[in-house]
This record gives sequence, C-alpha cells and structure tokens, in this order.
Amino acid sequence: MFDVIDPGLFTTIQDLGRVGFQSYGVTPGGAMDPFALRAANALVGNAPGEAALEITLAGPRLSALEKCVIAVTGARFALTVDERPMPANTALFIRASATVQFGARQAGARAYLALAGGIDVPLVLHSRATDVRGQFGGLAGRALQGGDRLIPRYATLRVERAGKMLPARVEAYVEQDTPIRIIRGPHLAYFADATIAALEGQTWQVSELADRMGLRLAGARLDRAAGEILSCGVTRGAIQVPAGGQPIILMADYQTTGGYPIIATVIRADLPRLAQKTAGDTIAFIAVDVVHARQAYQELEQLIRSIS
Amino acid sequence: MRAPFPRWRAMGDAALLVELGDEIDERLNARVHALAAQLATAPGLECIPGYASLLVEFDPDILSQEKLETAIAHALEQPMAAAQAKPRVVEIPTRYGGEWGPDLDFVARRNGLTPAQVVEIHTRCPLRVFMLGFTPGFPYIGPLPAKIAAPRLETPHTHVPAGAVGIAGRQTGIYPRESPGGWQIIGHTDLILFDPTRDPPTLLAPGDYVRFVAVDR
Repeated sequence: MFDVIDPGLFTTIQDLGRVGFQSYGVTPGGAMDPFALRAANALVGNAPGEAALEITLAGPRLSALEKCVIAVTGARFALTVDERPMPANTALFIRASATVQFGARQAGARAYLALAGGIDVPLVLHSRATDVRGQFGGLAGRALQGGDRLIPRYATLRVERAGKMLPARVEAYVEQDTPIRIIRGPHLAYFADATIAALEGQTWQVSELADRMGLRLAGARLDRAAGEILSCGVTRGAIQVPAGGQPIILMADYQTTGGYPIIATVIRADLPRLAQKTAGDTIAFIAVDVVHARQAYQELEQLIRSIS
Repeated sequence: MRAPFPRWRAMGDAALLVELGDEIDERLNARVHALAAQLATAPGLECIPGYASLLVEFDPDILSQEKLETAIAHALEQPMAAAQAKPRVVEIPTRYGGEWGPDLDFVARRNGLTPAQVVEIHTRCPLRVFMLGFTPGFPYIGPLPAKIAAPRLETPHTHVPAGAVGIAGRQTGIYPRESPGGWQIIGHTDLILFDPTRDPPTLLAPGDYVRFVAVDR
C-alpha cells in the first residue's frame, strides 16, 4: 500500500487493456509496453494482467504504508528507496514507511511499477486500465495525483520473491536501436513503390506530438494517392499516412477506426520497443514477412515465460 | 493492380482487413455485420466493423491465418441469412438550430434550403448505424439524402458538446462526449450515447436504425 507524495509527470494505472469492446469504439488501451508490465508482474509473483503503474518520463515519489514487494521494469530511472539506489528489473522488499523515489531518467520512456497483490481499482469494461480521454477506468479515469492511495487488490507478502531478477538479455530491448520491423500494407494501392521505399529508407524522428494515442513521426513527406479510405477498423502498430504526408504509428489508446490509408503495420514483437521512444528519438523501419513476425513474437513470449 | 472484392490483406501479424467493397451502402454494410456474426464462434477473434470492411484481429497461436482465411472465404460463400427480425429503430429527440445547432444555417444555405427544410429531411426517415468508432459510442449514421450533405468544417470546432448532432458528407453522427470536432453541428440530444458502467456500454449498435425527432428547445 502506498501514498502518492508526488505523482510524476504522467503516471496511470494500466493493465493489459480491454478486450472485446472495439466494435463499440472503445480502444483496448492498457500498457504501452505490455512486455515490461508482464515482466514486472512476473517478478513480484502476480498474474500477468494485474494492474500496475505506467510511469512516463518523470516518475513518482511514493511512501509505503506497510511492507510490500515491488518491481520496476521498462525505462531506466535512478531508483532509490529511502535515498539508497536500488536496482530495476528486480523484485524489491520494501519496509513500511519507506520512500520509493524515481530520479533521473536514463533510458527509455515508460517504466512499470508492479506491486505484489496488484492495485485495487474497479473493473470498467472488464479492465483496470485508465482511459484518460474517456475519463474512465484506473483511478477515477485520470492520472495519479498527490494524495492518492494505492491499495493492493489482495493481501500477499511475497518475501521469497525479493531479489528475483530479469535475465540481462531481457533488459536490453529498452535501448535497442535496430530498425522497427513492419508488415507492408494493407492499403498499398495508395502508395507508389518509391513511397514505400521512402518509408523504409529514411530515419524518422518522433515528434513532440507523440502520446498514448500515437507516435507522430517527422521526416520527408510521404506522397500518396489523394482522398481517404472508407473508415475501417485499425489496430495497434498501424502506420497511417494523413494528407500532410507525416506518418502516425497507432499506439495503445488508438481510435478504433480510421480514414487514413495504412502503409504498413509494426509487428507485435516490436511494439514494446516503440513504447520506449519519446520526442526526439529516431526510428527506422524494415519490412519483414508474417512468418518472421510471428516467430519474433514467440521468442518474446518465451522470454516472459522464462521469468518465474 | 488491386484485387477485386471481396479481398483480405494482413494488417500486421495478427489482424486481417477484409474488404467487401468501397462505398457506403446498406446492403454491403449488412454483409459486413453478417460476416462478423458468422465468425463469432471462431476462437480468439475480435472483429471491428467498418462501412464496407471488417477488421479481424486474431491470435495466430490459436487460429492460423490460413484457417482464418478459409473460414472467411467459406462464410462469404454462404448466402446472407434472410433479413433478421426487424432491426431496432431508436428515436433520437433532437433540438435543432440556434445555440444547439450553430452550423444549421450554413448547411441550409449551401443546399439552397431553409433550416426547417434541412430538419424535415434529417428527421424524415430511419437511418442506418453503419459502425461505431472515433470515440466510444460515436455512431456513423446514414446515408443522408444528398440534398442535406455538407463537407467537414475547414476549421474544426474546438469544443463540441456531448450530445451534439452533426453532418459530414452524407453521414450524420452524434458526439458521445465533448471533444474537438470537424462535423457541421446542426442540433443536440440529451440521450447518453456511452456509459462504461453499463452492458452493453453504448446506446447504439452497428446495424441499428435511428430516427431523429425534432423537439422544442
């Protein structure tokens, strides 16, 4: 159980999102980096989809009201407990009245703090994820504020988890700078071959207009056939190209339907890496086939399952 | 070269976009919803209907893309089920014009009509809910008679209130919550379009029909 002394820049309660409501226009939402969320839950002995904190760019200061076990994964921050440096990617035993503080950000954009026992907020449409635009889910549909109290969903004290660590190779993805893998299409007819080559041949910069809905990219303009597509369902990772020619990668809180043609879609296995990008970071793309993509996802799943 | 309809293409490694056509057409849309219903028994799927397309999100570890494509092809070969029991028609009591419909005069002028004539046409017949999207519970409704069609605003409104009734092209819609918006706002309803505490959480479902009803301000 924690009191929030300082909420940080934008800290929300997230889980693995809302399944089954997209045809109502409800975005699945949930953790931008579901891999880090699952890893944090695994470290503290939670089920993979327990609600946890998603911490963005500048992290919170929390005061423990009782002893507990936590783990922080994803982006690297200078983490201290009672002002002593503590490792990330490790289950930590926290004594009552300890202060957990996120200091300077060192790598990545989003960290996840899992508490053994999860976080007790009501289920809304079967999920505890915060839909900030819709103002529902999580803690009253908003980011954390000073004075909030985080209560575990169930009482547990997994002292035996303390010290459990992620394998080093798991941590490495946060800073991995290899091209982001994409599947071309589905609206390839809107784009000339040269344009598809231009998507994959240049380095894009993540613009200031990047948030949980999508990463807007800045770079050489992508030409496309005029007009919009008939609104259709879209999915996370889809790369839309509006009339201005600057692509947008749809992220966790994507609008469920769209009218912009989609030139390519980021593979599932590379969505966690994308979630660790912020304004000013660069991205390059490389096309792969679905077989390779699914294999990469399988490898990621194996990695998560190996944490136990 | 583009393949003829129906066709399907991958959207990433865990979704298939099934396109049945490229126009706003009631029968085409009915086929989309029928396909979603036919796929409802396949494991691990989530379907998002569009005007003339269905996005099928799947788990390749539960159902391979190959098996899914076979199921889709098979479903599309079946003749569409005979028209179901009459679809629901939901009445939408709407206050038109004035402060509630700041763009009603523009829509009227643009089409050489009076505002009252626009209202009469907008409320004349039941209209189909083609799909929900953009924001939870936002219905894409139509097709409107071309006589009251109007383009999106060049400069979107920064604040469109919850319940605003708008027109864009030959579509009409209702904003479930306050947001910026580019549609021409002609009226307002007090009905709640989306409530996440209810099941189902939306007033309208794809395939429903609505009837706008003019009420006094």
